[in-house]
Amino acid sequence: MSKKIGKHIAIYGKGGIGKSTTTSNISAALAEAGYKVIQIGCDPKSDSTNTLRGNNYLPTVLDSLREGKKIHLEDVSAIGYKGVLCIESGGPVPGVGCAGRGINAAVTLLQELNLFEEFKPDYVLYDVLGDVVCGGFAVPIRDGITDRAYVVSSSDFMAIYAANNLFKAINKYAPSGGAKLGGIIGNGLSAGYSKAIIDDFAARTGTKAVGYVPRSLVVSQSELYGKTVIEAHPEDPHAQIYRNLAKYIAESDDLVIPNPIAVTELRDWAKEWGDKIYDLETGVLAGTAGI
Amino acid sequence: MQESIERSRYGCNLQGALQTLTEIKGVVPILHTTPGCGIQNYLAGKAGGGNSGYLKGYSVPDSNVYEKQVIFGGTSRLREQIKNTVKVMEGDLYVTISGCEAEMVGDDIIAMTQEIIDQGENAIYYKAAGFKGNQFNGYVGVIDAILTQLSKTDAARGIEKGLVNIFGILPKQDIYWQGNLKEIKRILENIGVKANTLFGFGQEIGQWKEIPKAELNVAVSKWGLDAVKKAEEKFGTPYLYFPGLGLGEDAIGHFLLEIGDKLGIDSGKTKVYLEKEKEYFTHALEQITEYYYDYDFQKTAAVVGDESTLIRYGTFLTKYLGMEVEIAIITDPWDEEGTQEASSLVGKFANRVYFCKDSSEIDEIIENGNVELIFGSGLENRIAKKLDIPNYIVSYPAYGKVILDRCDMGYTGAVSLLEELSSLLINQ
Ligand SMILES: Nc1ncnc2c1ncn2[C@@H]1O[C@H](COP(=O)(O)OP(=O)(O)OP(=O)(O)O)[C@@H](O)[C@H]1O
Ligand code: SF4
Ligand SMILES: [Mg+2]
Repeated sequence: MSKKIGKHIAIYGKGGIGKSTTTSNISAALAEAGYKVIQIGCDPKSDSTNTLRGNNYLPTVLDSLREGKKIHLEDVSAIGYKGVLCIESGGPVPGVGCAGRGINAAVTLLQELNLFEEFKPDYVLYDVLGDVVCGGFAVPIRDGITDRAYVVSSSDFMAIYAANNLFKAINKYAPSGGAKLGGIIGNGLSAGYSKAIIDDFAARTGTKAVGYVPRSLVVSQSELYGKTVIEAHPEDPHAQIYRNLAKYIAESDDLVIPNPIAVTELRDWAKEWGDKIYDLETGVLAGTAGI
Repeated sequence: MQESIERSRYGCNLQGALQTLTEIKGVVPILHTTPGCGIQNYLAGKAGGGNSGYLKGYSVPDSNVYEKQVIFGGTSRLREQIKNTVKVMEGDLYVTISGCEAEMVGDDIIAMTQEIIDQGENAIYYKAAGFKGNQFNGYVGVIDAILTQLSKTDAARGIEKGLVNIFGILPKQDIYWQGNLKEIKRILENIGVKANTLFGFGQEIGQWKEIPKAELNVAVSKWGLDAVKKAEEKFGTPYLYFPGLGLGEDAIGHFLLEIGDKLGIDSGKTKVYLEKEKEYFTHALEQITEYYYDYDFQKTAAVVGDESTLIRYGTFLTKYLGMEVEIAIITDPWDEEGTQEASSLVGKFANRVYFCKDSSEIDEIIENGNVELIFGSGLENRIAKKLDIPNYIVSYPAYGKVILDRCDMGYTGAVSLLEELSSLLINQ
């Protein structure tokens, strides 16, 4: 690959955890601050950039590839909020074909189209679907496409489990030039102990939480308007949370290779937390665990 | 542990299926694979043994999928291929075969095959991902597919007295397969048994539909075992298993008597026939005695090949020609259980038994083995040349040999082995 233009950042996390919402708000905040941003949805659902472009129809890269015609950047991209260039990789219809290979092909194609040379972005954000289930989904953090990844996680065990899987992939590929980890973005945190769980997981894996986004009604409402929080509720304190997060991601170069926890250990760790939470709720140990 | 195999002796599951199916007249395989899968088999076959089947390499239909089908799924490409194939190639049975790519992506070839059936054609499918095994598994797997799917609709009723199906001789993989099937048919005919050989000349889907009618099934190598077991389970047909059907009177006598016994054939009659064959063989043996002593046929030999070939040759060479089999190298795939069994079967005549697929390692074993003669595949030509000893080709691949009718089984095989081997040794 040629010299990288802009910072390339991959956002991972369990399905439905808030990757697209978070990524879009970060993109919006960066654009608002005057940067040139590209957001690439690496997900067959192709809904990553919806709130950046008012839910308008955007043909995906793979839709064009399927038709077999010559592909032009203009056909597969749309200018969204404050100039964010929105692209959706797309994929096969559910239950058919290989989405992993599709993402791989879409990203390669964008490179071949000289996307980065033409657009000269400051930041490129890749919103990658779900868990790292196979090699295809690890493409954005392999092969030097991105140099950093963040993982969105709530304090639910399954979300942390998925984050841990991502750590395994990073751990595997980073030594040979793959992306490193920027940190964990806590999202949808509502319970009092959520932050403590994420912090503890971060500490055990040699990483850190770079932001905590609470659960909020403005997110849902903005989404219904087809907008990011930055656009729909710029004055809301929630918008400020995203701005801070964007600022951190833009400026920080603090990257690590995480140490994933072995599956059995992870289960034991979760169980410990299960006990603690129960004790907290029943009042036995209130005030411990840093809450 | 990871290991690399140098100069491998066989192709993948798909290739095994393909080389099996193309020896049944009227069968049209429709490959659903990336380009090259079908041709590989054709080219390998051409280099290593001679014949090509009813349908030759370049004319085997293939969906030739590429990245687009990997991403979006390849069923519509396959559907198109099927539609066109059925239009231009008349077949009694179409077999859709999926290779690695289609299996990884999960293309639904079962539904596609059903579409051919709905059009009123005879069709079955076989999932032949190359990573699911090698050529041997391909033979086993595709026969299983035929037995499972074909008989669903076409099971013939009633038993035909004296009809016996033969399994375990792999078309092309057994370099003498055509002659061997013919020889089995011939000797069985002499005791009033009709062999259904299923592959090669004159063998069509009609013969396959007769399978349920057989009185008995016979597996003549371990690769026929699954088929006979399947047929027993499905049609209730009993079976007999001969791990390495032999050469010469001893092995064949045992073979015929056991089959006769199972089918209620008068053993007196069988023995009369055996006696006749034995006389002929002994006569042949006597004719080479002069050479035998003059040229010292009592060599120390290495045998290299699949288990059943090794058993066949090893037993004959030690028993009738007084050779010493110093080294036996079993090259067909083995599992732990099979290894033990093979070791004890082959150990009966060989001093040292090895399991090895790597040609360089095989060369090394032979080089350090102090042998005067090799019975191997074309891949052993190199080491034979280096050691300046003859290599008598008995196993796949048989470079530079065209074998159409010769056999290396039964009485005919024994006599032609005497012929060929004598010629080789006196020309040394
Ligand atoms: N902090 C939050 N507060 C309230 N709702 C949220 C928050 N974050 C995300 N959501 C909501 O959760 C839902 C899922 O979010 P989103 O689509 O961003 O997740 P995702 O991780 O991209 O999912 P997928 O894996 O399906 O792509 C959306 O309806 C979104 O509005
Ligand atoms: S191993 Fe797979 S890809 Fe290779 S020839 Fe066989 S089916 Fe085709
Ligand atoms: Mg999403």
